[in-house]
Amino acid sequence: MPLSAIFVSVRLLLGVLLLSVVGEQACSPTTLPAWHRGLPGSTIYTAIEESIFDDTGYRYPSG
Amino acid sequence: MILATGIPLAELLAGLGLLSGFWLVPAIVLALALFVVFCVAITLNLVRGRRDLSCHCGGAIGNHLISWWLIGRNGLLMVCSLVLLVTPPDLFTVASFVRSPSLLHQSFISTIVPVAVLVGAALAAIMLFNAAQVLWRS
Repeated sequence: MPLSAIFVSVRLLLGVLLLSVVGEQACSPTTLPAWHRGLPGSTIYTAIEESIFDDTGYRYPSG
Repeated sequence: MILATGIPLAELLAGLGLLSGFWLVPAIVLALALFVVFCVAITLNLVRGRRDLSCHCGGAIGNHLISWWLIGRNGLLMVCSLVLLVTPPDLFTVASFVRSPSLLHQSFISTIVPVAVLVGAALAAIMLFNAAQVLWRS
């Protein structure tokens, strides 16, 4: 198996992982309504931002 | 709100760039930046003692409670991204096939089949590992 096949696989794998994450999170039933409301602070993405810039943040529910 | 709106957009652009090969280097840099942001967010919460939060990684990676193990996994993904960044771009991309359609036929047996097997095996291993973790906890 050529070495390039491994690099191609790594690239494709990273691409699939990132798209599957954004597909599930950005289009989830909890996130989609938030997009319509202009991201008021109830998505995992706002939770990530708050956890970095506000130490009271990241109160997004588990599960 | 910059991160909150930028992260999903960056995930989308990086994923599409990595899969298609268009703007590959910016896509890899974007992916690296995303892994750094995720590592920082998880580390800050672990340091603050909030271990009962889900990573909400979603997709093929599965959801887990945040832990140092996730930092290690993101570190591995960062190493993979760095390897891609320092190696010459491969020819097995949509961008290459658009420029030279005969390349698709030439590279079918030597590249496409092994790559499909490797990617399929890696995704299957990730999903099996996630399933094993769920079974182990139950």
